[in-house]
Amino acid sequence: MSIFFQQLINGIILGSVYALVALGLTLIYGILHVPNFAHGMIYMLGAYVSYFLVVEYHLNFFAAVGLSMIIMAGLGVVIERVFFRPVQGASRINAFIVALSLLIILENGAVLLWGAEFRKFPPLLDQQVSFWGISITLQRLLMTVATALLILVLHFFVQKTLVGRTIRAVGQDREAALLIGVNPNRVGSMVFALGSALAAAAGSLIGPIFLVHPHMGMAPLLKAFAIIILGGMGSIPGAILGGLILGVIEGLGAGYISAAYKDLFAFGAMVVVLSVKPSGLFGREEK
Amino acid sequence: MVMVDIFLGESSILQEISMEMAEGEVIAILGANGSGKTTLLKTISGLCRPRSGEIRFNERRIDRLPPEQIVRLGISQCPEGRRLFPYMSVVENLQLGAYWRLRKGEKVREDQEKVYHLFPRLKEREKQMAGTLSGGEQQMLAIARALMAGPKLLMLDEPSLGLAPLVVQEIFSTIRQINQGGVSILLVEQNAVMALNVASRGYVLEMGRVVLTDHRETLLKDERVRHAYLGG
Repeated sequence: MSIFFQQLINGIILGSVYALVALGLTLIYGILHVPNFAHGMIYMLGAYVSYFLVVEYHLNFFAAVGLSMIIMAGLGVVIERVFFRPVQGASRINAFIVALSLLIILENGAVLLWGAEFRKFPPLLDQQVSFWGISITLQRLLMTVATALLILVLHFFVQKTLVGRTIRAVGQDREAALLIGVNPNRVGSMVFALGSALAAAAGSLIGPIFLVHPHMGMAPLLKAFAIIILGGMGSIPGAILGGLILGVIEGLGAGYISAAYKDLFAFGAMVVVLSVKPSGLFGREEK
Repeated sequence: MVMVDIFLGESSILQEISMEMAEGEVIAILGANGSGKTTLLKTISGLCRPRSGEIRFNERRIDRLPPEQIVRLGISQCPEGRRLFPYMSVVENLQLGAYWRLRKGEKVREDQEKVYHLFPRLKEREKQMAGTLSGGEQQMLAIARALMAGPKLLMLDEPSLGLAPLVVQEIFSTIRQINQGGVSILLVEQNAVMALNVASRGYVLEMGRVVLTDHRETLLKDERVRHAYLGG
């Protein structure tokens, strides 16, 4: 039984990071209808920025994460303005190709700048916490708390504030949003800023657990796409729940069957859900 | 109050439109499907740009302004097909209608009470998702949302579309009430009888041109209007 709880906890921890990556992706897709393949690269760049801030500038880890989120939010705004806004309103395939190109440019840019080697964060809060026969490091616990906080803040912002409402308004009916006086370009910048900050947070928080390297963004990117398809494209609760489900399936699958097949379980779950509910768990049927 | 002189609109749907409107008036724009009625409203709102010509609102040229500035000047549109935010509640839709005023820090509580007074049914459904309302209620909400922007000119695009006759009656009597409250109204309709019941004048559009304009009595008697839009 203790294996079960241990793997459940591991799955939730992993799943909360997946959820964070998926949230940014689903926000950008749901509002701007851009499949942002570069999202995984923002995750990777965010991890690098935090890494350098901690190692070179000896910043406190959480301050580094915060700063990295701000810097990546800025980069997200630039990316939206320079690359995605010009293809807004053109055929969807254009945004698709722009996003793919960005993925390749950013990933290879990182190799060019920093080399392909793996980098390790200095150990951080690695004392163990044990309860009910489960043990996790304090760092993982803090990471999960930080992730949960970010998700709550985002949820509150999007659901309850006026600015959050304008974001949802543009997602639900762009022309109607224009007519009530919303500037959709400003909403586009904001959505990219938010999504990129979340990706940077996820990459930075996971950095000390795994390693930092230029290709670290690919797997979470693919998983995040699986999650938002599983949860329903554009749905925020879908991304949160989808992330947790995927993390738990991976955790349990790795614990009971084999860690080698964990991706199989994740994508298998996606296929099963879609065959039963094609629009995803929280998906809205196309009008 | 409004002066429109368009010689060529975006994508050439509008060909020659010349119209004028005074403060406090209710004007009807009549015409068949595809005659350019909706495009005309979109052009005034700033969603489409005229290629030549100009549009003035209270003397000020507005045909080069983006939509978000036009709504701030006091022109609000209730678009065809209602275009509500379907996954938001009635009250959220109303608040968004007042978006630019809330951003300026204005209080809109009173206006909300006012639109609830006009459409008591919306107050009963305050917390309900807009997408789950009946067709008539959705139309009421669309008009109410447009009113929350605090317009001097309210443009309504086919408010009777797809609604039962009784509901249409109700909506048109509210439109009259809104006008009596001091809001000028530009009404696009295929239902010419209903439109000319509240409007004092009308313009008839055909293929993107104004082919006829007159007072309501004359239009109601006009052979061409009767034949084309009043069903004989």
